[in-house]
Amino acid sequence: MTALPPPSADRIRDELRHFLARTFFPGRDSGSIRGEVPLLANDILDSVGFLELIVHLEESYEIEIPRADVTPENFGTLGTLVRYLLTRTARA
Amino acid sequence: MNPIVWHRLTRYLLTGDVIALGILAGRVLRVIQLDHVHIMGRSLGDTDPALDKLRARVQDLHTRFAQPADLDLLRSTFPHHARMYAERMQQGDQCLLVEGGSKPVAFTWLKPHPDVVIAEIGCRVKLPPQGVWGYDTFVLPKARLAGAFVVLMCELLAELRRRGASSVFGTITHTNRESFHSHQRLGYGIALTLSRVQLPGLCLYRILPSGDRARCSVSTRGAPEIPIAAPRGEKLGGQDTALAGRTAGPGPS
Repeated sequence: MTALPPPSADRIRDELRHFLARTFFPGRDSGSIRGEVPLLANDILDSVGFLELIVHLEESYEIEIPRADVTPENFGTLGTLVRYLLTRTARA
Repeated sequence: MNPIVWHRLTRYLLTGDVIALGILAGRVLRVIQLDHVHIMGRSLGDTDPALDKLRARVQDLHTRFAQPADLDLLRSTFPHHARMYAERMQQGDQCLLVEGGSKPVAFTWLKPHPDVVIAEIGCRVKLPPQGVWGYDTFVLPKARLAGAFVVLMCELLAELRRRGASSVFGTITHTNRESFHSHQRLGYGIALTLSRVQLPGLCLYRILPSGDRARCSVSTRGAPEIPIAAPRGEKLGGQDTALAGRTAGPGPS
């Protein structure tokens, strides 16, 4: 049996947009969460929501996100988060 | 000019709202001062599996109650209210600390008695039986992405349940949207919104229970004493579960 290929950037981006919209903005169009919008500084993720996001990513992508990786550089925007997940899923 | 002030000025001029214009001018000139706080609370009935799951994710942080011997540690780590910590402890207030290794990264304070003065707004509130007041919750910036707030609040709720408390309350400043949303996701809801309008020689209080404008009351006779009702049902704020989708934010009241 061959392993599934790692998810593409587009797929990760779409999935994250849907999760953020569904979890934090019910009824809002997921497309309105743009790649460069700051997730932490723009009232999208509060402290509890941020931890929810981490748990969701670990379960969805079957990865473990170490404390050292939880930085604004990786989680600052949807775009940086997609890049981070691409590297992690490619490695996994 | 501040863009918000400019926007409001334009709107009030266009609509001819003279009263709103007067209030705006008073605020800009600092003749009128407005303060709003939300009193948020939640019942302590059952545990919430979704919250427990989040708590379990953070294994490297633990909690303990601070002792008088910790005062110097508290003062050096959280200097913003340092001069008040000893006085709080002497009054019987308790400080729950979150520590990573042996270093504190977050704290919150509890009042063990039902009569509470809200310093931000000068009101006295009376809690329901077995109600507990929490205040001055603070998380060091470096610990904010590490789940310290979730650990602090989950352990606080668990400890209060062990003590037989029925509900927990606290204030959230009107403008602190992140704290409002965090508490809302933990199952808190608005119990009351208090507003204070200060004019030269006059102070008005507006009391708005649970966003119910029909029961809004205004007090002109100094700081009122306000009873807070016990939360109805398991969760406040109209949410079925604590971590369900966010409801309306803390808009102006």
